Amino acid sequence: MKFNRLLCAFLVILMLTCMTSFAFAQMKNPDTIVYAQIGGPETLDPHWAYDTGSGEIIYQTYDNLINYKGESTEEFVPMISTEVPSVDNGLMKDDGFTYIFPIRKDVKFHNGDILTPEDVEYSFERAMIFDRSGGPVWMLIEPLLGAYGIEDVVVEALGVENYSDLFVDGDPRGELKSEHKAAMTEIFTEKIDKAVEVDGDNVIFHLAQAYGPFLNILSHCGNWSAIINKKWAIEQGAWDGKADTWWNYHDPENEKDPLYAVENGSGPFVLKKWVPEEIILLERFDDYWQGPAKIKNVQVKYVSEYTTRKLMLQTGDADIAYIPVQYLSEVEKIEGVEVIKNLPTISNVVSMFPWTINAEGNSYIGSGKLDGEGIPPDFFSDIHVRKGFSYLFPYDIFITKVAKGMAIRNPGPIPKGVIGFTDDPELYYEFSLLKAKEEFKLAWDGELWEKGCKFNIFYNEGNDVRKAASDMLSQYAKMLNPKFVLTPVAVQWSSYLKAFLTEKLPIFTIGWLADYPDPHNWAPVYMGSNGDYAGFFGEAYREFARENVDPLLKQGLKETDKVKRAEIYKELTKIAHDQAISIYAYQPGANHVQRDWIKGWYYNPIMPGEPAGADFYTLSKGE
Amino acid sequence: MLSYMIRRILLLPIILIGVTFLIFSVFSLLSPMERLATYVRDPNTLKNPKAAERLIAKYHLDEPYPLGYINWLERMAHFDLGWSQTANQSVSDAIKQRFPVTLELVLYSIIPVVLIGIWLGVISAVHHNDMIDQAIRVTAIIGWSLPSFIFGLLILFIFYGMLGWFPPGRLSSWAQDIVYTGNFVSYTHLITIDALLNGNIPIFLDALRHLIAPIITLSYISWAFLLRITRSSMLDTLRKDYIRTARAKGVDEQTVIHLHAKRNALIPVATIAGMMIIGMMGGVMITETVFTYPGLGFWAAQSAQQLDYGTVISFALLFSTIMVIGNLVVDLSYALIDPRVRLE
Repeated sequence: MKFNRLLCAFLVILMLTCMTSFAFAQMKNPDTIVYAQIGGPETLDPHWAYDTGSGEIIYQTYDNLINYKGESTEEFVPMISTEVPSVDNGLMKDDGFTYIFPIRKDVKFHNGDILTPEDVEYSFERAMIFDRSGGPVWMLIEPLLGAYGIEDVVVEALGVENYSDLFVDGDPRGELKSEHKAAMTEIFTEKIDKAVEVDGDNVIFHLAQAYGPFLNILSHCGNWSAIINKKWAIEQGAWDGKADTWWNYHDPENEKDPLYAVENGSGPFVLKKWVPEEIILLERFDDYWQGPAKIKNVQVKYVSEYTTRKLMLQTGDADIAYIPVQYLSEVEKIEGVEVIKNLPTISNVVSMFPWTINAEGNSYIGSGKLDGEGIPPDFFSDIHVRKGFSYLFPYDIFITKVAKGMAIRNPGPIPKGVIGFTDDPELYYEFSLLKAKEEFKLAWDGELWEKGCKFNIFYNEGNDVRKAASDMLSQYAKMLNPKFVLTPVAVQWSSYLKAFLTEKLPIFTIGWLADYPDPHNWAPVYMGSNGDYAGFFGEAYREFARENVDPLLKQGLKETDKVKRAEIYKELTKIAHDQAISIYAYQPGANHVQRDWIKGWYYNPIMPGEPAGADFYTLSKGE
Repeated sequence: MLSYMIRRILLLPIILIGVTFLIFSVFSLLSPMERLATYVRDPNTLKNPKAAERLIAKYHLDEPYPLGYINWLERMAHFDLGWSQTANQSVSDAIKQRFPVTLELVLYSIIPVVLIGIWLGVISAVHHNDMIDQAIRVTAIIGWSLPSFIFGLLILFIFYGMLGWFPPGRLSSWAQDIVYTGNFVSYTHLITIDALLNGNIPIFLDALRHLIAPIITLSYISWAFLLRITRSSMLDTLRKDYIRTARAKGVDEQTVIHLHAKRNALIPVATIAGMMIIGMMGGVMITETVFTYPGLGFWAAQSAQQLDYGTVISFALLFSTIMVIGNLVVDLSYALIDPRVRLE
């Protein structure tokens, strides 16, 4: 009984304390910056990483040959190279087929080794050999070897149907058939080795084709072009540098990648510890060639719950935090927290119309006929259908209500901030029910308007923005003509991916985040016959693209004059508009949230990190 | 008893094969392209039209089901649990990293769950229908009615956001720096125990401080349930004839309650408490998520969602093993508490 009374008394005191006490934020850990993030890295291997989480860490621990100049996405500054190649300085030659990079001396790796041109050569050769499936190295192989992947190079050179045909039991991770060894060795000596060579203090790249965005691909922010320590990498078990073993190091499984959890870059921070999905601990590298960073330690903590991140920011346990756009108004009210909004990103969200839908076993298109109970597989091949939907989407309402005003429109596939973007008002589809109606009435010789249509619009479950886009399209379609029944459907990612790969999706909304800030990273994706997205629009579209789009894409890629390139991509934007290839819904803005004692943050839209990256090298902490 | 234990343990491999066979069967209903989603989080990584095919071949996603299961069993025989796409590390490393986190959370939570649940259950039964009983019952109803997510956030908001007392995560930044990179030896991977073994009291206290909020959240929901069971069992026992006899013989009430009634009332409670604890070892996803405790629960939920079947199967193996051994321990403790029980 006495104990019970004591317990009650304790609870009352606790309650009163709660009502009167508040946690006042104060700057903690003055020599450590704590970043509350979501989604940890998949790997620390620069040649494997193709996700933002990995890129963000590799950015801090490795250097590249060149870097972007501050906030610019068009100007470069030297990094491991002492100069940025250009026609003017004679380091870009042969009409863009040759790039020469003089390598800086006395740059140290984290283990104390001195960086040499051989390390640079090894880094790129290893990347091309490694080329894991679904990885980023295609960006190096395309300019250097003129293909999308090393396996394509091999298949073409050796005249086989599949890369796996060269191996015993068809297992590319097993033993190479002895009769192919010489040819495979020659692939290295004649192609890979010749693409990157060392000449004294210089590293020279010999491209297979003139390539406008080549410097972008090499620049810091592109982890695939990071410079690794050859000797150290070989000691870890990576490619041994030899011509007659390279296939043993190609496309390994995750657990067989020796560089997955270790690093030895020359960047301003050293990896102290990585606990996957929990924390990354970085420590300042005092021998960094540009001078040591201002902050001694960085901790990136992976916190999946928004409320927890917000409270960490509020109490000062986090100095920077990832805050989704819908919660910005909450954190803006916290004293001592800075919110920088509407930063221009290089990404966009697009709703796409496949011109031919795979009808085999496809319930998403209803009856599969234009009878009011479905749509035919070539429904979107009619330009009036595509134009109708392009006029039907409420762009400005979507940007205001769903994107909370933190987005802008794009007229075509190329976002603002990238060469080739145009703001020509003629190229923007306006939201107009009247014009939509006119187009739909012309579609399918008037049959569509009379009979109606019925199909599903897909978005991946959990993506509220895409749900909103689908809902809006559906509602306005019904408003226009009650016979237009578009049903938004949320699906698991696995189902969405399968339907996408088998070309069964009627309309799908998806986003693209830049690998590098150049129109070649955009236009082919959304318009090319082999595009990441457009390549799945069906054969009718691919045929159209081969004739009307691909030649311009090739031209734009090879052109080195910026002004001329811009004109080519503007022409592609006009085609995208005239053909109403897709609904270019919006280009989102980013935001950055930090405590006001953090100094030195700057924004570059191509810097890896969600939602806006951070260069820890320039950051400091102080009142 | 020994033969009983051996018989129960021998059942374990049969159960494990059954569980894994079932899970494998479920995953085999997915097409290779659907299973590809574990490896492809964004279609823009499939640059090459052949990239999807290559990934399917690389990860053997098109392997026929019986062959796939046999290959998996073969790898199991070599203790190769494979790679976890959700944890971004090998499954065995992920378990080694996450299991102690959940274990530490559960071990510390057991104490208030059992002590408070039983204590309040006994009080509630003894003061049947009194104000105290009503108050305790209302508290218990709130406990298991309130969604753990809401309760956890409330605790976080009050004790961390407002008071700054109990932060999320396992350790403060300064402590993490020492534990992960300094001269700190992880003997058990239970940070509180390791801190004591390393003679580092500040880290021990810091770890304890970080444990309090998730313990409150986890235990409140659990002891509320245990309280109801204890109360029910205690009420039943207090109505028995031998209790009436003891009172009639003049035995004082405290002795009647604690010596005669309580022990008998706790027999069913012990079984249920044991099952609850075993269940908690399966991972307490919501608590782990809210308080950023990177344990088994959150990882298992993520793996299931992302169709990371290698992880799901391994997790099922682990949890099945815990269940079998845990059940055995509960049965043994049942025999110890109740001398009438003979394990045959």
